[in-house]
Amino acid sequence: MAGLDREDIGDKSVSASFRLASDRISLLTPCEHPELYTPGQDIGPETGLLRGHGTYQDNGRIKASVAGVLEHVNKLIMIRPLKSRYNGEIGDVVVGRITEIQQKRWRVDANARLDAVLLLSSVNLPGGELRRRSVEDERMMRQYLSEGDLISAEVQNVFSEGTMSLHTRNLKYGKLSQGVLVTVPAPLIKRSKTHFHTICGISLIIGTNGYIWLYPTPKSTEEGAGGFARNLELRVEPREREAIARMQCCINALAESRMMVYDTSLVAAFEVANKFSVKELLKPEVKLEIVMLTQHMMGLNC
Amino acid sequence: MVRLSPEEKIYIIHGVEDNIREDGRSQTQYRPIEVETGIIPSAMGSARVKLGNTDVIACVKADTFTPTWNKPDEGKLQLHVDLSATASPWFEGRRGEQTSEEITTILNKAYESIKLESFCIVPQVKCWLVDVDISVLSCDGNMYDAIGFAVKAALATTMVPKIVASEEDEGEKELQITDDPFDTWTPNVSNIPCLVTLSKVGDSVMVDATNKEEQCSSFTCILAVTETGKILSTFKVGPGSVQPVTFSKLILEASSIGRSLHSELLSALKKENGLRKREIHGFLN
Repeated sequence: MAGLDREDIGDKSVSASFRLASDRISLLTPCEHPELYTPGQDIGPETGLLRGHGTYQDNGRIKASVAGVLEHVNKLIMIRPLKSRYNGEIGDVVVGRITEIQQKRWRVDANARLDAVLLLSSVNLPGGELRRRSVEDERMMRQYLSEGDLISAEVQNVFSEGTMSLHTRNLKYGKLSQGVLVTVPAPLIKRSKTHFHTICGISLIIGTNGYIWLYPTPKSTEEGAGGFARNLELRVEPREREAIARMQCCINALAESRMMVYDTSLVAAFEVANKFSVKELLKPEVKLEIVMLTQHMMGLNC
Repeated sequence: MVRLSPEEKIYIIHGVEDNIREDGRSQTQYRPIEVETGIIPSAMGSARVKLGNTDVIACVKADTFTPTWNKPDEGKLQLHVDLSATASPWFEGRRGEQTSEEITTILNKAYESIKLESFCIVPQVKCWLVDVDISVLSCDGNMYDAIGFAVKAALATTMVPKIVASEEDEGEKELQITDDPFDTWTPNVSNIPCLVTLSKVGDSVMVDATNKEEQCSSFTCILAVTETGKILSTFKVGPGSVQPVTFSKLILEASSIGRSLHSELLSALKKENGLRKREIHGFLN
């Protein structure tokens, strides 16, 4: 009862700040809106043009099928949606959560329209054994990964209806241990060479699907994020905890202001956030300052 | 509700114990709270409260009724909660109805013990029956506290045409609504409580748990605290139990938290009232 035995508990000060909606701070910088298309809106005649994503053809006219911005590439016309779920591409690094266990496969929530699948045959068995998966392995599935567990994986295949098949056949992928999952809109994630980073004193996996995993940097180098071992004994140090909380706030602030999330922007935002104490990071004015200074540091205007 | 993995839970529990919660808050720190009153022009009083990502609207409607013989000079306060299915897939359909009924019952119990003498128009003849409809638009934990704030803010800014009792005519009083549109009645909210939810995680106690933190808590109780720090009612939600000693400490803590919440909320409402020209943001964004 360490927390309750303190005598001062009766008058421990609570901090709650009420603010008014009229003083609301918006993190979105006002900028000129491009012309928006709504679903069904006419774009133009089909002749001499190529129809791309987000459009359909109706009586020889091209029309928008999603709400978004028109994009021209030579003859190709497409509508880039304002808001979309994650569309998987082969080779993407994703972070997902197991939602269901089926025969020979796990269902994974990966922020896409449909749940992804992780086949039993596309995971590395503990110990790195290479063999055909037997019925025994099928029975052991829940021991490897159970509902609610988080994994990092790579997209192996995307089927025609949109479901993704994942694989974790690399030591850097696998079950995730202690840490925090932050969710941002998938289109805000910038695809880069590596999605595994160790910056600002913590490690992170920036899933292309908008799920970002923040975790304390493992002490021993060989013990990566992969594997199936549970690690419930580890007690994360307060310093790392603060860094993770700070990074979480930076990611949320960047996402709220519709800035791309990748290592450079995160390092910049983290540097700005360093001058604030962790407790004030949730305040809108602090978030605004983080966003403004980050934009300034990265030389962005809008 | 998203199911967490055991590792995530351990991380959250240790975080609360170390007084650095997942989002950097301390054990007794609330997320930023935003209040706005008067968002629904057609209602007699309304308020929207955003507590982090929890978003609640309260809407007041007043009616009159003849009081019962055992409480001739007390009005009534009735609450009704509607959980929007957009808040969580859990609130969809039948299950959502059941959950909202459950919460309605809990809330009505919590507000039951308030003495509503200020809601009386003419003793034994007419009293105010105040309905508060609460809509939960999004839920990221700590719904009860947000509802408590919204109810209090909405009631504090309610304006109802005043009803006056005219001269006694052969022993019967005649009730009339005033002609003056600025002559209004506002309920006295000094005895309307704030709800304080305390969650016990590991060996520590925290306020304002998020959805994730609620999943890790071993005991959650809600206390209705008045402006003077008195406890009106307590109730417990979810599974779990605590030692009597711990519970009495929780009560003490809730009392002091409740007091400061009241003063913060009232000063925010006062500030809003003092604004000369106010643009109403509403609940669409």
